[in-house]
Amino acid sequence: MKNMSIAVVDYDCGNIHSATKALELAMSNSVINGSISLTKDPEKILNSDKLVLPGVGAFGSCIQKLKSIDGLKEALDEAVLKKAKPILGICIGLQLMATSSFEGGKHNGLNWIEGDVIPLDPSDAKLKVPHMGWNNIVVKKNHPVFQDIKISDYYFVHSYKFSPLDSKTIISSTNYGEDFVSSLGRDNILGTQFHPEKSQAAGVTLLKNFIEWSP
Amino acid sequence: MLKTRIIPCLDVKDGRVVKGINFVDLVDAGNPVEVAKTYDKNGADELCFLDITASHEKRPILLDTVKKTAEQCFMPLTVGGGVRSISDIQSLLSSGADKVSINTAAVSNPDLIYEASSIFGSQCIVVAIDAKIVSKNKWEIFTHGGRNSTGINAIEFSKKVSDLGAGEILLTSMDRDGTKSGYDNDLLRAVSNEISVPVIASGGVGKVEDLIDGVMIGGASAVLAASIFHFGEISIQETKEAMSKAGISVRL
Repeated sequence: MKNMSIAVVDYDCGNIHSATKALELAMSNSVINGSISLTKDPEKILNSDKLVLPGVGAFGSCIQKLKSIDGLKEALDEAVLKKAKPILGICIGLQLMATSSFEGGKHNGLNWIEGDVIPLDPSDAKLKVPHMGWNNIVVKKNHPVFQDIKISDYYFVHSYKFSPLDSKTIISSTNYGEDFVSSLGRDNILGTQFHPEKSQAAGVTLLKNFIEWSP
Repeated sequence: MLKTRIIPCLDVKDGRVVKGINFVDLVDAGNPVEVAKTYDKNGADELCFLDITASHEKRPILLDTVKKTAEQCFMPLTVGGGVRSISDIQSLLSSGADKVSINTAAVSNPDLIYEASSIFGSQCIVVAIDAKIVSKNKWEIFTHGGRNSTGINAIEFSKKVSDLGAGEILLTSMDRDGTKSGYDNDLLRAVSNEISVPVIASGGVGKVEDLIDGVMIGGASAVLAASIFHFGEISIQETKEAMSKAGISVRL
């Protein structure tokens, strides 16, 4: 098999360095050989086998940065929607896939998975927001990326949640004074609200499964 | 269920991990990269890296050391020390920090907190507050690594910076730091009751019971300690088991 190329989309939004490092480790643990590259070049994105859309930040500023890079949004749309390349969105990268977000006003997202990004609203007023730290996920639907992972705790840092229109897109949920969607996807698209690149062994295994996944 | 975080803290000076007694007389406790690697293996929930003299010496934080530390760290990394501008925050995030801790600049220029959280999101903006008790139930803020008094009330300031967009408060008791006599739980309780964002307890841990008290009495969302972990007095795993026995939800 030819070497797999994974592009980590670099759109100047937060900690892309750690996603790259964790993917490198995951790839060295996997049966697949290949390379991880950090890029914002539309052509490179269209020529890679898989994509990772990481990110930390406020929705409005992230989507604005993504759209301000010439040709990037168009390349992502084509790679994901037309060429059906597997993509993993992490945290804000997941949220960007929504129709719209209500973080600091209304912003249009990429609309790959219909739904809105809305504030977390824990029923217990004593629960702090942002939801920050290790929490367990409950897998609702079997998905190859969660295969062989016995640990259920992952690292979360967020104040908003993805509320999908179609509940069939939900892969896992997590409880924080309410049940919210902690991972979702359809076809070649996958996103996690938690940070696999910051979730030690469980996270690295998830990334390895993503590398080995053929939707 | 959300777990209480146990956070070892690397106080770094000249690229080496040190731990001060009341912030003076520093004792060398190792290479930050090696220490980070060990904590990652041992199940720490998060790591904090503070360049403790950066602000005092008015120089930028050691980006290269941050980068090397981050490479060994598959858990969240908070970095602080001498952070004064949006571009400082940007460089730290691109060097591998997940969160940036702002101390002196949050006092001298609170608008930075608003601006930074609007650009990078509240979740990566931590305000580090060093507080000293001045009278019963009244604490004052100190800056520049605890060297300068400000006359600012710590509880009011915590409220102000969380309203401005800080996603977390790292609250250090200057009175307790390095004393091993336990956190100032009155201070922790007063601040955590006042604000809606998580509070990290810091300063004074000498034994595992102090960590338990920080959560149970102080109401902290996370507990930070340096020397008891660095010198191997207690392991992360032993700490978690003891906390779990005390009824605190932790990641075992």
